[in-house]
Formats: sequence, structure tokens, C-alpha cells
Amino acid sequence: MTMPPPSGAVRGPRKHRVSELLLILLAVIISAGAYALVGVGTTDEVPANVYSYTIWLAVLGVALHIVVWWRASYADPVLVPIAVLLNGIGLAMIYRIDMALESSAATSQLVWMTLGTVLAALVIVFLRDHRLLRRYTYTSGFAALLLLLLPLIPGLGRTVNGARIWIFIGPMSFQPGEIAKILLAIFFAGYLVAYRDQMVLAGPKILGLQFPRLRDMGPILIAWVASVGILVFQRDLGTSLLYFGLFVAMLYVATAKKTWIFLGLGMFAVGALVATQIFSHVQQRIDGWLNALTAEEYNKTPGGSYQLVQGLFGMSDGGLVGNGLGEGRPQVVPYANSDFIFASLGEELGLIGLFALLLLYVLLFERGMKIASAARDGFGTLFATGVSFTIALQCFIVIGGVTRLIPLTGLTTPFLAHGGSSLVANWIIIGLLLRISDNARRPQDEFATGVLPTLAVDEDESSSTGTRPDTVTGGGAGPDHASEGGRA
Amino acid sequence: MSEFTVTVLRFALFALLWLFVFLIAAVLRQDLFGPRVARSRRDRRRGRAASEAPAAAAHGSPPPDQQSAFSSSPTLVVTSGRQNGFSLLMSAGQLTIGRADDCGFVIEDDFASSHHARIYPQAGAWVVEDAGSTNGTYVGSARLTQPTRIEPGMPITIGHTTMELRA
Repeated sequence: MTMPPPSGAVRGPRKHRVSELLLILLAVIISAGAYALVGVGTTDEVPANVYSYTIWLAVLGVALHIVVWWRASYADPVLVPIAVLLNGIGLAMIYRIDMALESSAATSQLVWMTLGTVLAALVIVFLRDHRLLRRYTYTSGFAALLLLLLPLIPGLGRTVNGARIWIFIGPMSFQPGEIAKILLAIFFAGYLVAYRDQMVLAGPKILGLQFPRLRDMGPILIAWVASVGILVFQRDLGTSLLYFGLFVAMLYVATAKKTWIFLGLGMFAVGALVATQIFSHVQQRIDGWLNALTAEEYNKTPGGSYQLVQGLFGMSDGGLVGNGLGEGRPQVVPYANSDFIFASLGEELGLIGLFALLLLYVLLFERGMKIASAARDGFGTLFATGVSFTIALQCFIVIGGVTRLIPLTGLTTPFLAHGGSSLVANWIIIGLLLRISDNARRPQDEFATGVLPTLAVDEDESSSTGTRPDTVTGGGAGPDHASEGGRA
Repeated sequence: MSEFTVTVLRFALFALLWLFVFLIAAVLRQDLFGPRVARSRRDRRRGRAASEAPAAAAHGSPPPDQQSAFSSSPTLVVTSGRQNGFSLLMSAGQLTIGRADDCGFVIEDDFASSHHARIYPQAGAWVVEDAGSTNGTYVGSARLTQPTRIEPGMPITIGHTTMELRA
């Protein structure tokens, strides 16, 4: 048997767990400060429940921190603090809109945040190895389609603002598409990691571009056409754009062929052109985007540019440093606490605040990509890329829409916006990224998660050299290992 | 509350927000640029002394003139092949290399077996052993027939992928 090296001489990577805790606490302090300032700005006094609010946020953050320390101690240290801070700033802004509109969205958002962190913790506790998800490749693809179909069931789904993407169970409402996003990422990652070689090497060459064979592409194309088709049918173009981007990005990462980017952009252009011809609401959005500042568009109801322009006015009123929390008038914009929360934040926190938030998103995405590149298996790489790309693309679509860079489509700003399904889905994504990063950064001898069997090799082994303890745990690495079956 | 106080508090919030961003950047700095290397000769000597004591030397990579393979955990770096640039921190246990999902390093190389080779520490050195692969494992240009000691920098070739240990 091997002699272990001198104890302590071989060090693992630094875990940064204490940094994580301190960053979480700082995030809680900033969120609580924002909350208190909202109270001061709107009613001239600090909200009475600021202490219980702060304690609750801290409990959520620290509890998640402890779970990560317990079950995923090598996980990336900045994911949780960033998520807590974005969520906390969002809560403060939602509370601020509540104060103006006398609604109670912040409470429900806090409940959803609690649910989200609990789910993230459950992912870390029960999903010991992200590679387990690969077993459910087709199951997830199928489940994603079912989830997307749910809102079309009469009685369960309901049309809200022209889009039929909600399901209502009693008082609760939910957008199943947000969860379907994660499941689709699992499906794409699992499928692509198994078939990418066939997709890259085999297939006809047209115009100098290598296309995969239809049978290699088939399942993924079906899943994608079905999901995007359902979404178009439900009139949720933002989400279908998101799925489309996810699909193209994962194909590109899996095959490393730029063909897919050009092809994707081409297909997008064709799709967008067709959509403007077929759907009146798409045409409306584009008109409202191009001619936003004309009186005709501004006064058109419904579907004019009133919301967009009010958001722009708000941001310009905010300027560099903003009006101060609770001192602007962001509630003038319809959906100021969900779709347009970024404009509301721009009005009250100004460019300085917005840039800090944008940087947080950039850092979150950077961590996602870093985790993807550090993952030891192709599935982990693709999956981490997929889910972090959805966050980035979602930011681009929403913030681009609100700032009039691209036409406006209804999507939520990750973690900031009011909306339970999106918040829960994004927290689950954080949990999954934590799990993948833990597995990627864990040193070899600690890596045995023990949940994956040593595959069929064990059978080959037992027939040739008798049973063998295990390959993964790293316990026995002596010369007693003989053939592992030459399955090249 | 006076307007002045509120303004001060607003800017304090900005300061905290940006402090948070920069603190995150500081945590990630090491990840992007590697650990801080001891600068002066005295620091380096102190680093070497510290590496004898296990608890110390949490910062700082080992001085480059240190020869022992165990002064710190080496990294396995892929130097050519599809995964060129991929690196993996070695540690006390064995590292299995192969195409199967349960390997410590899942190699993306059609010429590798599902469980191709393993690298493990033995008597203060790193040893690479072929695990009965079809196409063999090469150290330098010699095909492995038995467990072989490797030094940092020696090229290990599996299929079309070449990797080496770096201290």
C-alpha cells in the first residue's frame, strides 16, 4: 500500500470560509442599511421592524453559510454573499415601492427568499455529487416540457398580462418556466456531453460549415423546438429568448465550434423577423423601442412606450448619485418592483449604485464560468456554463430592455426583482453552482463523494482479477491493482 | 433626522456597497493571479522554515528552489491535447485518470481508456501507474510497464493528451 506523504505537508486549496462569513455579514449590513434608509426617506423614521428584519436576513445567510461549511466546504466563497446582497437590495427596493403603493410585496418576497435559501441548502445537503444529475438527463428534459405545459391546463393556468405562463394553486402563483430552465440545462448538458463527439465529427458539410447528423441532433432539437414553441404559444418571448440563448451557448461550449454562434444569431434574426410579422405584440414592442420618445407611442394604450419612457426619466432623474432611497418617485413606472426594478434602483441609487450591482452580476457570472472551467467532468462544465449563462443573459435582456438598448421583454432581474419563481430558481442555481464548485476544488483524497458507483469496470475487474476495494476513494493504490479492462 | 445625516448615510451606503465589491475582488485575486509569492530572500527563508511546521505557511507558494515534491501539493497541468491548460491540484490520495465519470480527472480523449492510469504518492515521490489501458501510458517516450516515479516536469502522455506535474 502507499505511504501517505508527511501529514500537513500536502495542502488543499484555501477554502475561504471565513471570508465568506464576513462577506455575508457585510451583505446583510448593507441590505439592512438600505432598508432603514428607505424608511427614513419615505416616513422620516427608521422602520420599527428593522432589527427583526436584519436578524432574519442574517439567520438566512449564516444558516446557508453553515450548511455550505458542513457539506461543501471547498465551495466558492463569493456566490452566497453576492446572492444575499442582491436579494437584500431588491427587498429594500420592493419595500420602498410598497411604501408608495401601500402594497405588501416585500413580505412575500422575504418568504420566497426564505424558501429559496432553504432549497439551496437542501440541494447542497442532498445532492452530494452533481454528476448524479446526469442520470436524469432525459427525465429532466421531459419534466421541463411538462412544467412548461402546465400553465396551458385549464383551471390551473391563467393568463396574466397577455402571457399564459402562470399556474395558480390556491393563493400561490408560480411560473414553472423558471424551474424548467434548470431542468433544460441538465438535459442539454447531459445530452451534449454524451454526444458531442458525434456532433463535432460526423455529419454533412454545407458551405464550409460542419453540421451534425440529424439523429445526433434530434432529441436536443425536439426539446428545444418544443420548449421555445410552447413559450411562443404562451406569448412569453423573453423566456423563449432566454432558452434560445441557453441552447446556443451550451452547443458552443460543448463543441467549441463558432459555427453555432453564427448559426444561432442567424436563426435568431430569422425568428425575430418572423415573430414581428406574426405577433402583433412583438411589433408593438419594437415600435415602442424605436420610437419610444414620440408622443404617439408614449400615449398609446395598451402597449405604448409609457412604461419604458417613465423608467428612462426615473434613471435620468437619479443621475450619478441618485435621489436617495425613498426620495424619488419610482412608483410612477408600472411594475416598478419587478420588471422595472432596475430603473427604480437607478432613480434612487444612481449610476454609482447601478454599477456596483452590475459588477456584482459580472462577478457572479465570472465565478460561474470559473467553476465551469475548473469542473473535472464535462457534464459539470456544461451544466455550470448553462446555468450561469442564463443568469447573465437574463440580466442582459432585462437591463438592456429597461435602458432601451434592446426591445423590452418581460423577464425578471435575477435576485433583485419581485417574483417568487424566479427568485427560488436562482437560489437553486446558486446551490447547484456551490455543489459543482465544491467538487471541482476539493483535493483528490477528499473527493470521493461515494455516491457514484465505479461503473461497469467493477464487473470487468471481478471477472479478471477478483474484487477490488474501489477506484475513487484513493485508499488502496498499490500494485495489487491489475487490469481495469482495456475499454478505450 | 436631518437632511445632512441622511445624505451622509446615503454615501456611507455607497461606500459599503463598493467596499463589498472590492472585498470580493480581493478574495478572487488569489484565484486569478495565484497565491502571493514571498518577495524578499528573507521571506523566502522564513517560508521554507515554515513549511517544516505544518500549520504555518498557509499563504505564499513554496520558493521555486525547493526540490521536494511534497513541499506543497503539486498541480497536474495538461500541456497539450484537447484540455490544454487544465490544471488540477494533487493531494495525498491517488488520482485516477480516465474517461469514466468516476475518475478524479475525467480526460476528454478518445484514445484514453475509461480507467487509464493513476498517480499516487509513494515514499515521498509521485508514482504513475498504468491501469491496464488499451493504448498505454507514456512517460517521456517510454511506455509504462510498471509503476514509475515521476519528477515535476516529466511529460506523461495518455492518448493525445500530455500532462506534467508542476511543484
